[in-house]
Amino acid sequence: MHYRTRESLSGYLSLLPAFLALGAIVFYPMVNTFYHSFTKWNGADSHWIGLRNYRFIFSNGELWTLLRNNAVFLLSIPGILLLSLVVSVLLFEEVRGWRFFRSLYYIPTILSSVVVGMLMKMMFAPSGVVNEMLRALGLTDGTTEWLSRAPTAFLVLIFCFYWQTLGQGALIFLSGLSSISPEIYESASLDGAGWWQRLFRITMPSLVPTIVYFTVTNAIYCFIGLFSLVYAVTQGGPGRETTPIDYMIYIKAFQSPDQLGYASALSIVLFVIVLLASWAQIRWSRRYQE
Amino acid sequence: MNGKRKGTALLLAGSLMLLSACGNGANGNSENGGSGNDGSPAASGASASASASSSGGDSGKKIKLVFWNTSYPTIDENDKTKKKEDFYIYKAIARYEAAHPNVEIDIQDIPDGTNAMTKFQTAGIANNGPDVTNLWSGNYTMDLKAFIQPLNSYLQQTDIDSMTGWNAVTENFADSGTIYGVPDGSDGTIGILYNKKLFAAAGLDPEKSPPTSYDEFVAMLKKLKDSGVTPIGSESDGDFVYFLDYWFAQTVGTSGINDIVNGKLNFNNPKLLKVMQGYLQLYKDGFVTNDQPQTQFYNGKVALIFGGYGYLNDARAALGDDLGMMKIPNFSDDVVVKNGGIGGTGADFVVSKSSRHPEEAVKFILFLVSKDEQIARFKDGYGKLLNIKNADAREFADDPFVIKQQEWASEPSTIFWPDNIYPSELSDYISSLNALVIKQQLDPGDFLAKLDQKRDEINAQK
Repeated sequence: MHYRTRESLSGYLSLLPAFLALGAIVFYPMVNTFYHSFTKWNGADSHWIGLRNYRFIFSNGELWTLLRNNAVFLLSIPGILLLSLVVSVLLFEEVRGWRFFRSLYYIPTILSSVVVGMLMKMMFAPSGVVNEMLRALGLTDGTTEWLSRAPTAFLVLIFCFYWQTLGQGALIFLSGLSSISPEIYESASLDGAGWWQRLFRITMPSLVPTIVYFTVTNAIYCFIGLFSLVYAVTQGGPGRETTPIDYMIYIKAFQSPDQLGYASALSIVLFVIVLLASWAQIRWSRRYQE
Repeated sequence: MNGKRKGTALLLAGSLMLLSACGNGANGNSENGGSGNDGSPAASGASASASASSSGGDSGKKIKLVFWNTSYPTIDENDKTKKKEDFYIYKAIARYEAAHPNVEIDIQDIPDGTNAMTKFQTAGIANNGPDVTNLWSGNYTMDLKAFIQPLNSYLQQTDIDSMTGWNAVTENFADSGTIYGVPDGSDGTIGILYNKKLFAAAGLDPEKSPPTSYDEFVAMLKKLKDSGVTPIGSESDGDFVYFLDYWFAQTVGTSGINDIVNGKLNFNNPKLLKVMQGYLQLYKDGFVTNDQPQTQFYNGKVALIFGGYGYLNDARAALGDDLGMMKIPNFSDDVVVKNGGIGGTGADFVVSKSSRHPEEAVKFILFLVSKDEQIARFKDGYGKLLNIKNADAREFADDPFVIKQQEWASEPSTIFWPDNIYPSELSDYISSLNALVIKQQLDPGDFLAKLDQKRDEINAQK
């Protein structure tokens, strides 16, 4: 066998285990889900029903409520982006106590969403510490039912999302900041550029790829990663007011009889939405970077 | 190059082994899973050649039954030092194993309620479910029948005759037909548990003059509120299952509930709308708190909660002789079922289709629901009454409320849990939307209309 052929063969064979694993863990379930999205499936038996699941999804009005809920989380991304940026710049500038704050901000990231959710649920309970604090400060009468109304329930969920993401965001932006050459700052300082000028003329433009990465990954997270948080804090309530699509997939798949086909169709819809959203974001960011 | 080729071959072989191992895992664990696809005993037995005989413990080989425990307590919140062996279920298993030396019961604790059903469903899909588990009865069980063994061929008529609650585990709630479970005890009848001291302070004595109508109930709540206590403690979903569902069910009757499920009658009808408006008025008048209802009731800050036998032990321990119990008043004079309540056999034992030993599994279940064992678990403080026919609670209980609960449970006016009759998806939807109604974020009429829409969707997808 020719040397180059053997090299190629050995390369492909080396890749094969990873491809097989990917095939078994990712592609097979995807194809399986796609197939079952056209069936009525109870987990044991399935039969072909064509586009009926999709027709239900687009006609029963539920999808728009779910998308609205996902959109609320999506719209909260600029807030956490800004917070992470501010924190990372302050840490990068090594303000007083930065070592302590670096650890403090990162701790929630290592906690599971369920732990964070349960903690927040207790804190925001009617007789929880948040109401106690607000009453002590004279801001409210201390009887706010945070999780009983959609706007405040969303606030609690977004607070959890921020709290858990801040450490990771700060870390990502810190690594972005570290990659900027100190010589650029030095020469800018020599040229008389102040702190704000350095921030807006050097730091921010240099961080655009990091901002894009952070935004895209969190946008995806807002579609597919909120399940555990919502499950632990509001269980999609009150009503279905804070139920995102991924939580609805869980409800349909595991709490509704014979609805695994419907859940599969909803998963495919979610897959397409995330694909389109990520594609649009990346295209937009490329244009911005250019 | 030779070494490289060998390395690649090893890597390839390793990955194939890994994948084949994954594939085997999907068919269930080696001890328990792997029954035939149709789940029939015959198929199960045929595929179980490597393990013990499916005919039971007579072959001499030891049989292991996996029991997913969703309901028997195995942790004492007040006494963490209590050993597992000291709990009723471990003692019962020890008794069973002693009487059946060839059977070993592997008890595994899993979460109760809808989580148990989710776990059972996923295990069913993977064909590695337990031999025995405990689920909610009615449609909660029927929704999972694709993963549950029909039990008719394993049950004797004497077994069926000795217990109540078989409708809750029989297809279509019929008197005869395919049986998917064995009814497990009784939840008694949901009524009102109240604090006599707080009622007396408000000048009320429900023992002498219990409220018999909505108006009398409201007048009673008003007096309680005027005395400075919160009259009702209710869960965050508004106690739909324990309270509102009773007013629904008594208004339309059991046949009406079935008609609603089948789409012959709508939730959104004038009678049920009136019930909803009356129920909501209790919230509007400030009679109800949703903050930690049980704790506040036990601490004497809330005058009453809705509950059945399941709450009696804790309530008695907290309030002692100050605890009172009465039935939920009728919503109006023209209801179909009067002076009743909701309750009955809300749980059952099932045998999964993955079980290789269904016959032994049923024997174990019948042991657990035998009269002696039901009395033994009752005495251990377990939150269920007996579902043995003609059981006289006086034989094993001293508390007059327990005796009353057992009597109420056998009255024809006790309506079987409507949430076990609704499709489980609808029950979940009702509870989540009702949370919006009680916060006045959803109009009662819109609420009922949405329930009809959801019911129609579920029926259309059948």
